[in-house]
Amino acid sequence: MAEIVRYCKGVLQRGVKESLKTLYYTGELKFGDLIGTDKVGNRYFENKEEIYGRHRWVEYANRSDPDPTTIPPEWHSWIHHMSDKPGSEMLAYSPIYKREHLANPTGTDNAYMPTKYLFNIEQQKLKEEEEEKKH
Amino acid sequence: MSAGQHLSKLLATSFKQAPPSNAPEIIISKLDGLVNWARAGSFWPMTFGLACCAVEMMQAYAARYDMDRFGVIPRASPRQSDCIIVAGTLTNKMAPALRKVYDQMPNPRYVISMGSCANGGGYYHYSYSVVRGCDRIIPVDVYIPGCPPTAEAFVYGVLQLQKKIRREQNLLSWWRK
Repeated sequence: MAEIVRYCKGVLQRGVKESLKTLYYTGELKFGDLIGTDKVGNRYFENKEEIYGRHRWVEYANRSDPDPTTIPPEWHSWIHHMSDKPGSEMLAYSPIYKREHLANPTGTDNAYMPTKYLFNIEQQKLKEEEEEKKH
Repeated sequence: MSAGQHLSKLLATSFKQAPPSNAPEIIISKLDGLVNWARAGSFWPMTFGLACCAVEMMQAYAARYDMDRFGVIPRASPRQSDCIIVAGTLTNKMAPALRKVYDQMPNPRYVISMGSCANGGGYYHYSYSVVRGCDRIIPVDVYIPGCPPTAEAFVYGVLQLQKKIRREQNLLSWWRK
């Protein structure tokens, strides 16, 4: 019963299309207050009526490929229940010497590979040979 | 080699398959997607708990982190499992057992190395009786750093492996060959 009420509330808040999307991608229909959005587009929600520990959650900008490392440092403390301040307020506490936040590049084109990795050296040799032929 | 281009970029592009172009290739890549969905959605790990990392692994299976919602059910038999999670210090004495268990697993099989001891020996790197990383015994897909990694880190590692499985294009590469 409680589940049905919850689903009805969720649908009321999000609309049918959004709720179906959320159900498809996350398998759960949560509803609550939108606390904020970070610059990547992740949305942060809170609902105090949920079980403690499940009352804060994030909905990722890229739903089909969710990645928790896209959460920027200013939102980290909020989502991990370390502070009650949302990201917009935490920005004031971030150091001036910080660099731009990067999501985990593993599995993408930006993933690090050592320059002296064997395959890279082979590739470089082939390229050099090709260039020599051109000259 | 063109100036300014990092070699790692070259590598990343050279491993990438061309996107499916004609009708059979598109159908086969959809089949690939189905297989990947099934594999990633019911991911049964063989629990190979060796030390304190195993406690964090159990914690991830338990109520709070609840790996069951990702379809991750720990199995006690290598014959029924898709992946092996090496959690803890791999000693010389345990190494043949690990290899044997890995060999008993059916294909496709994946390996998660959990904790700094399994990644590279960790604290016991200079010990006379410890294997310096379980990748000396079996091929590893995902390394989870930490001593021990938190249950959250473990969950993230499993999700990374799921992503890796979703990227696979086994049928497509078989068709093209």
